[in-house]
Amino acid sequence: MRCEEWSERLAGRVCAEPGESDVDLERHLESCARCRAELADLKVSWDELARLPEPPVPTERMRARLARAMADSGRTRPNTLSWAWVRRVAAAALIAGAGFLAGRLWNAPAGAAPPDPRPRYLLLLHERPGRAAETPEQVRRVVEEYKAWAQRLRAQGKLVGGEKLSNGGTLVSTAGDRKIAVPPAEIGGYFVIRAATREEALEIARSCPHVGRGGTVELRAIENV
Amino acid sequence: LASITTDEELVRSAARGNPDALETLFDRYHRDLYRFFRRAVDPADAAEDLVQEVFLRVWKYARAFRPDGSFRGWLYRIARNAAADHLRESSRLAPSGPAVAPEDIPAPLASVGDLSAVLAHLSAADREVLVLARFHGLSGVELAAALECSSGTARVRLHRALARLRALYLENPEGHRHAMRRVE
Repeated sequence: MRCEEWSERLAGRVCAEPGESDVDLERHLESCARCRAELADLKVSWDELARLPEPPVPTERMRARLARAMADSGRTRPNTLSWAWVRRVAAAALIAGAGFLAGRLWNAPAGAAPPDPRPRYLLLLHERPGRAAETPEQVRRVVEEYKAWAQRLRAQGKLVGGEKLSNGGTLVSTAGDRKIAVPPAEIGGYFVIRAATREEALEIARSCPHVGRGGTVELRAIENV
Repeated sequence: LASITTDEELVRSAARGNPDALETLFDRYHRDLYRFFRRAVDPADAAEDLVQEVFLRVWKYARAFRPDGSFRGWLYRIARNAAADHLRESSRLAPSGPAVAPEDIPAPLASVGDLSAVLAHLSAADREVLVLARFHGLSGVELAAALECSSGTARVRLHRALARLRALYLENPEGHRHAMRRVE
């Protein structure tokens, strides 16, 4: 086989997933300096590509547009199901608008914000034991999925806050400090939500993308003390 | 939708007319699609329209999705077709459509040290395969499904695109210096 033919397999080598290997190609590379040099060159370009900045994404505008387009297509297809989503987007827009207005009123110097009577709940995101290591791209995708979910809750006025936690940590007690084993990290993140009832809080916990990914969400009511 | 986890299950649910399943797919993929259109397709300002078009097509054609197929490959195939239709439509509406295929016209090369300019200088076909493999992490099988070709052809296309990118980028002294600084 000539080097030109091997060279067509080099791109596969550059972007190979861990675990994949082309044994014949590896053998050829050991003996061919020219192909090794070409591989190194390709790898530089490939790695450089990853440094390009990500264009910002207008998520909410696209979500609202699609919901409108779906509603329009619903008129031509009367057999399609309930438009819970379309209604939800419309409601979220309304709540966000009302919240903005309310925020302005509450922030006015004359008065303070009235306390929200709904109880708060803590969602603790337990990671799945033995979870496989994720690539930065996979982590980014997951984080964005969680963010989109959280943004939706926020638009509905149900999110108080939440953060992703880094791996590891320390358990502090009188017995001394103990490092949390990595991996698996025990708790990957948390959200604090407001819900009128425990059932609603459970419903929110079940809708968290973390559950879909095989993780466990621990729901705890926060006591006002 | 808590019990529904995979993309394939979601698209089946969408095929049964469940808009919540489509919304979950939107949550998972709208960013990737938007970035794909922004990076790989001309004109980049059509990206929002195209993302919407893709999800409307997913909704419309969900029943045609084969359970044994790769969802991402299928999704990006829809995306490429939507972009091609958009391009045809806009060149039909333009007073004088281009005489050569748009992928043959390289964009002007603004600055060779700037990789995004180099990427823009590649043909649309090269950019597409590079963007899908690099930024969207499509596997060989997914890439073949998206490009509607065999895995072998997809691999060769990727190799040639990467080789042309390297030629434009590294064989220019400025680009090479830039890259070497990064490596060091």
